[in-house]
Amino acid sequence: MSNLIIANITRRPTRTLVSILAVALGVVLVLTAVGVSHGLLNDAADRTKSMGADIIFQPTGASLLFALNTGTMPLKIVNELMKEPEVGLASPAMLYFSTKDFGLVFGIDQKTFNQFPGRLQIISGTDLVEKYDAVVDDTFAKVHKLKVGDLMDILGDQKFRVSGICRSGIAIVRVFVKLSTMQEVKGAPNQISMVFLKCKPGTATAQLFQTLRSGRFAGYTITKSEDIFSMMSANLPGLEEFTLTVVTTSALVSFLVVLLAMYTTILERTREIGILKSLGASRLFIVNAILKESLVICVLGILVGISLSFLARKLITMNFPTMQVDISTDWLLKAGLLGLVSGTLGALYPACKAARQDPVQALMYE
Amino acid sequence: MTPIIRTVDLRMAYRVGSADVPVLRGVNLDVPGGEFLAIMGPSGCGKSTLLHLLGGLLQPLSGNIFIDGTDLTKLNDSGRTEVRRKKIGYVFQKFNLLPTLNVRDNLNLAKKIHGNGSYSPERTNEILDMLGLSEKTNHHPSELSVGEQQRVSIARAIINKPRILLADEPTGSLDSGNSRMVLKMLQDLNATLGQTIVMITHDYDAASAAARMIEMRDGRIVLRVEAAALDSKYEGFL
Repeated sequence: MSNLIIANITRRPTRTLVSILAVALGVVLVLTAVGVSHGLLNDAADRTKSMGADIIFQPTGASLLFALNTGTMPLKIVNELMKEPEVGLASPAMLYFSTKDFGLVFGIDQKTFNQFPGRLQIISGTDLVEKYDAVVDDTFAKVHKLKVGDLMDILGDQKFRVSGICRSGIAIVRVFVKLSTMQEVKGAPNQISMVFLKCKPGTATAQLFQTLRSGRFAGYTITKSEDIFSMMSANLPGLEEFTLTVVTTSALVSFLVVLLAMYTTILERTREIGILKSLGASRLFIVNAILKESLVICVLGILVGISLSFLARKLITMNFPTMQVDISTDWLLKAGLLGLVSGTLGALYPACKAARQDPVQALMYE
Repeated sequence: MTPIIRTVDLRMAYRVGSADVPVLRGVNLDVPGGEFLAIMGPSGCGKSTLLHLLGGLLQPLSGNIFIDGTDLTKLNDSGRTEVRRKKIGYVFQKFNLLPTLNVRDNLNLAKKIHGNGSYSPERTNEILDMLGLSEKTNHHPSELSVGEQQRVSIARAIINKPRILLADEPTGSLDSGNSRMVLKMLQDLNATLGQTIVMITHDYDAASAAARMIEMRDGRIVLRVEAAALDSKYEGFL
């Protein structure tokens, strides 16, 4: 039977190739779309965690999707937080969502911020010295072709000078200015968007988390660093719907193309099916042969799709260095399963139709 | 002796538009095991329909078809397929080889369908040798002459040692030389292996290769002739 399947697959190479590419397209769509969305979230979560904070403290109702936040809280809350016995370090920050390049700008208190393990690691230039200085990370500098001393528009019409370039991967944002400067530009003196907290040595994060949640800070948005990715995923509006849409579209593409390809194959091979029946092939044998054929196409499509997805990831990260595409093992399996199931379902109807063919009519088919 | 093929008052009709057009009108036929029978008749007389009914590819309107004691008319599609797979081999006028497979794979597919995977390759080689196809095992049908294609078709039909061989105009697409060769093969199969053969033909030369001939007209058997009588009976036609 394997010779029959291989012979049928190689008999119409163009159609086989189109079917393989259709299954591959579905796999690429799923892996790339999910990879980009998860990549962005993972990247954000990783960079937020890389700062070394144990807990992120935000105003009531704030989101971990920082760009969506407009709420602030008074700066003096930092002192209140420092009074908690479990708190070792607290660094306030203010966020600004720049509509110029849709990037986030961080107003930081350099003194406390640099006490965290993931402090700004300057590669060239200096820390924030002057009022309108900005530090950008090396990826941002590369994308925007910035070097130390260049001027940039990031907060309204105010020009900022690039005082230094730091290593990327620290905190969620790529541009840092002084907290006081940002407060002034935003017209929100003594207001902050968040506080990064680190536990005292020997204190568990869960303990501090519990203290904050149950004490006088109950009602604030308090998030453990380790929960950032899952909470971001849960809070991102439409992520689940987006993933479902991509998965459904991909499944439909694979299903319909395999259905069409196998249907035309069956029509073309009507006489051969009659021959198989005259030889005593059962309906199950015929269905089996056609499904195995589609299975081979699906497996090849999945392999091609996975290869193309990795190629797409390479191209995306080469052309858009700030983007990350995460192709995880579980989504590789899910995409493979999707290709397999949709392709097999697409072949099922033509297979059953073939099995039901009248053998005498089929033998007379020219 | 119980015949290996028996039909009892076999009737068949095809629906054309809203009318049923009768094709077989009460065919009674006994074919003893090991017989070589030729069925003759003009186009549309019902001989191909009769062959398809004997092979379980069609169901009759009424009557019975006994194949080696099993009444096909009492079986569903799956049951008829099983009988066909185990007991019947087909040879067609247009050979009906799978064009994508080479000679050996065409034979192996028949073995696979039959489910006799335990058969050793020797059986395939033996058949290929017997039919003079040993040098052609890796050739595809399109690379063979029509005579060779028909020999492969015969090889495929007998590879599983069916009790009955149904041949539908096996020489219809062949020149006289190849026709003689194929008929000789069928005679040899019948004589040496005791293979029961039912052959449809409208060629009297071909029919004379059989031990017995029946003639059909308008869905009925109108004549039964022993082989020995064939030449004298059809002297005028030959």
